[in-house]
Amino acid sequence: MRTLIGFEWRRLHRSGFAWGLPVLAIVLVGLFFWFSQVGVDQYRQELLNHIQSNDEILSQLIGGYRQTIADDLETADRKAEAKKDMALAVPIGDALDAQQQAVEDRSTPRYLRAVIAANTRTIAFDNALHRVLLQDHHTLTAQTKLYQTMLARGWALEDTHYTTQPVGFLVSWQSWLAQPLAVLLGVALLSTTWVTALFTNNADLMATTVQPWRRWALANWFWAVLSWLAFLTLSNAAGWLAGQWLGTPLLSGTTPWHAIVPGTGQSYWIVWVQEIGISLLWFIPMYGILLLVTTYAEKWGRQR
Amino acid sequence: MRKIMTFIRFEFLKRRRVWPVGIVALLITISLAVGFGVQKHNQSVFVQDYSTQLKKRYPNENSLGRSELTSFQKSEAAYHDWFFKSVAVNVVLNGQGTREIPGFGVRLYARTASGALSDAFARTYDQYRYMRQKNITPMFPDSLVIVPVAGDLDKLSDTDKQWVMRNNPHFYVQALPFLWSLLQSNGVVALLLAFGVLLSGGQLAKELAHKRAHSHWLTLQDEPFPAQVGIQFGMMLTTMIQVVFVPLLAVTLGIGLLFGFGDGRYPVFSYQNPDGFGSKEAIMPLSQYLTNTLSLLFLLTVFLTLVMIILSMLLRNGWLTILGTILVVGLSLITPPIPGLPLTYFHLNDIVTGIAQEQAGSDALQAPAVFINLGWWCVGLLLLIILITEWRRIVHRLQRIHLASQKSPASL
Amino acid sequence: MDILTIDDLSFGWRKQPVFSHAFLKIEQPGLYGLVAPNGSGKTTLLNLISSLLQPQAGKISLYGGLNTAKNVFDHVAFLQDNSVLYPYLSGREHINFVADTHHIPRTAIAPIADKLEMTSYLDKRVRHYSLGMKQRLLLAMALVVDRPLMLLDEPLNGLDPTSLIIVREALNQAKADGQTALISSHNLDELMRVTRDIFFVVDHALRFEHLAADETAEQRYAALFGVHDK
Ligand SMILES: Nc1ncnc2c1ncn2[C@@H]1O[C@H](COP(=O)(O)OP(=O)(O)O)[C@@H](O)[C@H]1O
Ligand SMILES: [Mg+2]
Repeated sequence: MRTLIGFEWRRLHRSGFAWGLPVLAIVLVGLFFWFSQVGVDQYRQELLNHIQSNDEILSQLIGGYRQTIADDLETADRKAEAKKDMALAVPIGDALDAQQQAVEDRSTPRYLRAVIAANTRTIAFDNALHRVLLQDHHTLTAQTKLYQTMLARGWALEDTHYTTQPVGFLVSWQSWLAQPLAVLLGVALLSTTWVTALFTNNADLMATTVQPWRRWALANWFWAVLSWLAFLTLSNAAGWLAGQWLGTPLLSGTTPWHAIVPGTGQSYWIVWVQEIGISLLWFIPMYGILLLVTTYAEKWGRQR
Repeated sequence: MRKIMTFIRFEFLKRRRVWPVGIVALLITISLAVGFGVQKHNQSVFVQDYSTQLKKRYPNENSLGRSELTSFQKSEAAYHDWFFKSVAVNVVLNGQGTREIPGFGVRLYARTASGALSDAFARTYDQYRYMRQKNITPMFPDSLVIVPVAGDLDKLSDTDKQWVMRNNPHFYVQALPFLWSLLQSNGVVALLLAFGVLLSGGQLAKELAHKRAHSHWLTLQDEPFPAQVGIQFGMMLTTMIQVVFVPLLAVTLGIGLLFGFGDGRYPVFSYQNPDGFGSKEAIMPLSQYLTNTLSLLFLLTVFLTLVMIILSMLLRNGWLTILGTILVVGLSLITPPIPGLPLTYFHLNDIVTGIAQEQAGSDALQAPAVFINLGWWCVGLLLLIILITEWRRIVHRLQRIHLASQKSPASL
Repeated sequence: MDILTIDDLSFGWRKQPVFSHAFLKIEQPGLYGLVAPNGSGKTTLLNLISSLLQPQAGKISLYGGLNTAKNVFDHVAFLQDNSVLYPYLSGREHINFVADTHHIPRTAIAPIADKLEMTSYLDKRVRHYSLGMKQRLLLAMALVVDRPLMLLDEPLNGLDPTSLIIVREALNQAKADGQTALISSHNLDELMRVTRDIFFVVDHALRFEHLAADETAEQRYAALFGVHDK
């Protein structure tokens, strides 16, 4: 068995995988890092657009109140009510301005504080009007709670999809590598030497020299799993370095490993480890199935 | 000419032995047709469900809300009419927020914060006015036109988002609309392309394997290497077209003959920048959308074919060539809109409707710019292929010149 | 007009020289051998002649012209090793294609297949052929195009005694018809039953020998390439 494992290694090595795999890992991580940079910039722009669209609705409202107050035909009662409502609406606008300023100045704490302020004032405004006018209250309270925690712990605000900070970047990269389709591509790629050997004259050589046949498959499996592990290690290492050197926060601050991934209740560290585990749990059986299927396909083709 | 036909016939013979392309194309067509069947089934289920929902909500004969139920039960045309009026009332009330006025739409207004969907209402209203003008029948049952990238859902909680999306479905149950729904999905497009790559990617690489054994043999049969590359390009493109376009068009034709083609002027949401002063929402006729999307898809097919040829020449391994090209297609699925990068162009719907341009804030992602850009990429890849093809000859020239210059002093 | 001339040919791979200042001349039609141990450049030479490889220096001429692709196509039939065969095609499909590209009527195929005794398996996929069957198919493909010069790379490889006799007869027939064949082999013994006019690859050059009737193959081979005892 040991000689077989050695033989499979030499085959893998000679076929150029020993340097092809690291190159592929670095190229893919590089591409994904680039995508993330673009994504972060676009998310920042989205934040600004979002603030602006809220601002527009609010300005319309405030304009309406102004008109009511200035209108000679309105009753004093209605004017007083409009004044009261306007007094509640204007601070929301101030909070929105503060949000915009914080995004432009790239300050996470100021942005978080401004959002919390806007949210509480929006709820107060709606409550005074006895109806939900501006935004859904459940969303607002949930967001306020999350942002308060982040503010207290000093965590950075990041988009959940795209971030170039090392911790967040590794988690999103690794979660791609845990997708069944990505694993399938990996299986297909790493089985190259196996497939080409199986469907050429090599197979005859192996069929006569290796008994039982199963051992060859096992040796190949062993190396494939190790290679996948190596790919995960290399790409994560490359991603970590890229994040350290070139990563920039969405606004400011850093995300530590023990911070909570929004929407999961678990820390980045745990999620990352889980995704690595999932990736391996997909890879190992998938590769085994590929070995089985190709072996039978070859046997079947031979007998035809 | 006769000789070229011999070569091409030989390539078809080889392909037939390796892949039953016709059968694969047929299977893909059948799967698409099944997708259509599912769509039609979902439509009838939804209509059924909604009808019971309405009845439960307005049990009383005299209640105001019966107007929706009545029109719903009367005819599709009556419901289109009711829907348009309902949306119109809402748009007029804009600014003061939409409320659940009794009688206006169980699934339109219930539960959502008022004012939250005002953009979607305005857009829907515009499209319906356009359709009224042109006498186009809307899809049934009528739904709000919600565009998440336009921020339509931003003011809703997650559960409300799901609720709104679930309650505003569109059923593409005629030929052209169904084609539209297929081309909207990046996943469907990527899957079709991946099948095409799987069936066409390996051949040239196999000819070049084992010290170009097959390729050399063909050269001896008077088929020079550039001709081989050209013929392989044609073969790959043919296969891609057979796997990608033939099923799309076949299923469109079949549905069209059985269930009608639908209206080519149907409004499609898009961002346009007619006067160059920033983009704004506009309506694009469905026929124009489909023409643009299919043209872009064709150009992308050419692009992928060129990529396959280059990978074949560099890797000389059919399996790796296929994987490399599929990796390109797969990467396109997670690519954000980046101007100038062809991976972005695989998001056909986003490009053609201008959504990508809006997201990236770049005019280089406008459809015409994308066509030109992709054209240049193809030209670049073609030049690269020519360079690789002629590489041996170039190296040989240089070697001879080098040797000659070394020898000449000695011979003096 | 000479059939084939090689003039001051030099060729090497990146890591090793294969030929340096090699010369060769064939003036009379007939059968010629090309003998050297494995890996010393027989296949490379045939590839150079048929212009699949370009020499770094030197000139190769066929029938009075340079070995351009056109000239090669018009005058040469090249039997390459069996990696050129497509495992998923049948023997007949290969021969048909070759006949079509050379504008040879397909009726010419049957007599050749008969002569090589391969009619029975001509319609099977090459995947199911034995080594000898593939060799005969390759020879049939070279014979069917009816070119004056045949380059045959190891045509005697893997043939059983009956097949050897069939092939030898086919070659003699070709000689009788005025064709020329350059036949490579690493096995001098077998080749000497076909011809005694032989080119050897020695020290990156080509040397012509006409072997006398009393010489044995072993003697010549040992004298030229040395015997590896250890
Ligand atoms: N594509 C190639 N690249 C590098 N070296 C090669 C290549 N093909 C053959 N060689 C080398 O050239 C030498 C001659 O090969 P070849 O002509 O095939 O030998 P023969 O046919 O006499 O057995 C061998 O040593 C081989 O290693
Ligand atoms: Mg050889």
